[in-house]
Amino acid sequence: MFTTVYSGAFVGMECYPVRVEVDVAPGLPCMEMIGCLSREASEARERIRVALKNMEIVLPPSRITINLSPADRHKSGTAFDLPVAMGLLASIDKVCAKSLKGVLFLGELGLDGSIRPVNGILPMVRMAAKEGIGICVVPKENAEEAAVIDEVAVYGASHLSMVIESFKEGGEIVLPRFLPEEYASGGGDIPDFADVKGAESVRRAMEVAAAGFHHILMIGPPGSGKTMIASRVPGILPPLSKEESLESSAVYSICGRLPNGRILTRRPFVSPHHSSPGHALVGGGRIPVPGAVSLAHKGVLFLDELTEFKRNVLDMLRQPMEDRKVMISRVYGAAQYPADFMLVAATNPCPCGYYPNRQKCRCTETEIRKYLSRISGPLLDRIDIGVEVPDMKIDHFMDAKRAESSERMRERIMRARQIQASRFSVGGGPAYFNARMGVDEIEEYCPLSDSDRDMLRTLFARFGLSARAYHKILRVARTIADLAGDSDIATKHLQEAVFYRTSMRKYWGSRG
Amino acid sequence: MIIPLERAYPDCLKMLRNPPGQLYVRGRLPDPEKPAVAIVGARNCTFYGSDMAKWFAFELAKAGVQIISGMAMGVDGIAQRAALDAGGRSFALLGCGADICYPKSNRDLYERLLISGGVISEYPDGMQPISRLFPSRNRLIAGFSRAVIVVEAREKSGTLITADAALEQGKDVFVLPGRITDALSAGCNRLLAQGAGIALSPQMILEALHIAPKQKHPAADIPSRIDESVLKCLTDDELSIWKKLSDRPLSLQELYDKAMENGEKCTLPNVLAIVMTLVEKSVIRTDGDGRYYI
Repeated sequence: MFTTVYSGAFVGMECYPVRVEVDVAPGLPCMEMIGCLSREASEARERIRVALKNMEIVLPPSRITINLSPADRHKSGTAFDLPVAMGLLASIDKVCAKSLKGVLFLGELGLDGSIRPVNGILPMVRMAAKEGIGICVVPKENAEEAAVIDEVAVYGASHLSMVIESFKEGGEIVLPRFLPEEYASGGGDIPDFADVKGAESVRRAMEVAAAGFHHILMIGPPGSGKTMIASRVPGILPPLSKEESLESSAVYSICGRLPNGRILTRRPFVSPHHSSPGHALVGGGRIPVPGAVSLAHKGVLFLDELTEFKRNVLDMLRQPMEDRKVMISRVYGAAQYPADFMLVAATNPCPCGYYPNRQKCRCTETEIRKYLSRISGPLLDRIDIGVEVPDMKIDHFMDAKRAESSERMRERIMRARQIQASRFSVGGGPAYFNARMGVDEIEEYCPLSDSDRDMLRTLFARFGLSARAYHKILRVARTIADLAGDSDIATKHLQEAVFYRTSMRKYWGSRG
Repeated sequence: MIIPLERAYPDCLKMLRNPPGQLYVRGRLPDPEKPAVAIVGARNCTFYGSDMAKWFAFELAKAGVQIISGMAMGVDGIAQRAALDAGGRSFALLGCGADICYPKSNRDLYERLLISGGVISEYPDGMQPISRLFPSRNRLIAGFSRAVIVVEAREKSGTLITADAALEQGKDVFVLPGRITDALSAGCNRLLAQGAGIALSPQMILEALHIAPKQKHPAADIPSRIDESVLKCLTDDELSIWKKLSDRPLSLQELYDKAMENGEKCTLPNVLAIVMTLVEKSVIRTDGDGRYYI
């Protein structure tokens, strides 16, 4: 007897349907699983056999062949346990084969028949919905993430017996149904900018960076609050929309890292340690796994102690920062992960950390230059804003008055975002930010008066800026103007944008 | 070119307590008939230090004085470049082989010195620069000079070794005073307290050494003193920022903090705009390290 069960698999972020075919025929008893399976996928045989035995379901001795189609695509993971078990059960008439039509099954089986959670449920359910599937049976722990897709009916199963009960001849689904909840962004405890006293120049720089989604570098001595400020950035970014949440949550689902099994409601903040190897940062591994840049999709990637990262690791950031995605090629196919993040980087200005405080810093110019040259040049090229973080002063701690809150900052940033959305939607492209403007867009949206052009020329000479800085300054100036609600870029907007290229200019060399 | 103890060996070094056994020279030795003055100072000098090194070296070289130094980063290199720019001769004493250009970033200066002066060492060619060798070359800097001018020096610094050597050899030491709040003038002010001669202008040095200026024309005025007329054209806000910087260099955040402390009504973007305008007008400067200077 031949049964088909619908399931799914993924490579990278791409999900595709898998047809589980089960054939039971007379012959020497055996159970074979084929279809280009990895080790743990083919071990489903053992798990199913023992689970059924423990549930006192007897498999008649026959020649059982299980094929996972398409048979030429490599499949891994343990999510096929449940669909294969259902196919087998249908073949021995324990469940009604017809009732399995139009149902997606995913889940790992324990030896006692319990159903265990697996990775990637969210994107797979999404795929199933697109394919016209109406019902999804998934592990209970994964049901909440699946329920977000409201085009399908999601049932969460914790034990195989309940699934059998639901799909047997004449039976009704007794599994708990998980209904989609109203999506509400926010929640969680993001620290507030009101805690950051003093350092107005850094707050302002962060506001500009967040408004236009510009990448930003903070330079300051140890203990100046760089980490404190970075961790507060997600709080001033606009709330995560449902669409954005589905995108980032898909990445977390693929890694099995959805917090409490629920989709993200606020922007991710990812802070990999500087000892991270390249594939942890960017993605990779024998079977591709997303890296920190993908976990930071639609959120903030914070690289603290930028000079401590290996140079070749930092160079790997080039592609994701350029294309806003990561492509990983393997023998059996290419995996693509999204990586649209805002980079917040932090570094000390010199080996001792106190430059240019001449009272404390004794580093020579060569030492400083060498220290900063550890930061990959191409990476610096993609950072639009640089700001110096002043040393913490005890007066600031003692001041009881709180600084401006994240909420107030966020209001201004949202207004600036609105302006950008309407500006770029005219072109018909996807939601876009000033930081992404290409040369053509800069020409169109950042016209300069003659006097401003002259002023820029003079400032370039005074600050020793290179031509590389020109477009960056215009992009940032456009954001500053948007924050101020001005449709034209004024002189003072340009001046501020120039300022963000002047920190440590001396040591960035030609990248400045 | 290698000169062991022979006729070409400079007389001025024969007086030293322990003169070098041999000298290795690329280019020339300083002319004993012409006056020679050493200009030394900190490697991480301030704008003040670099301006003064330039001024003193330029004016003295114009008057025909040979400038001796160590070709190091900071004051040494700046002074020697300025001396060559004035059309004069300059000579460098190195703490390594005379064939090695240390520091690498002064390569251009090294090349110019080979033509318009000389590079001298007591160590053989190929000797790598190590810090142990530097104090002893300082005594040679003093040895070749009639006087040593100290532009900027920290409380504990290599420059002071050169000053000590000069005193030991009975040479004059002239020191530029600095702000007592400035770490880079601490060594200088200490020397002055101990009785060193004070250097207030190149003319003063020329007079003290009884050297008449070569051409009959007034020496250049002190550089980087802002014209009063320029200050009059500044707006009140701009003047207020300028005044804050006249004490010491400040970053933007520090300027804003100071303004807030004074109870001035201002926003950070406004302060920034004023600073940028002042930089554009060349009323204030920046060194690419985030600080603004007068």
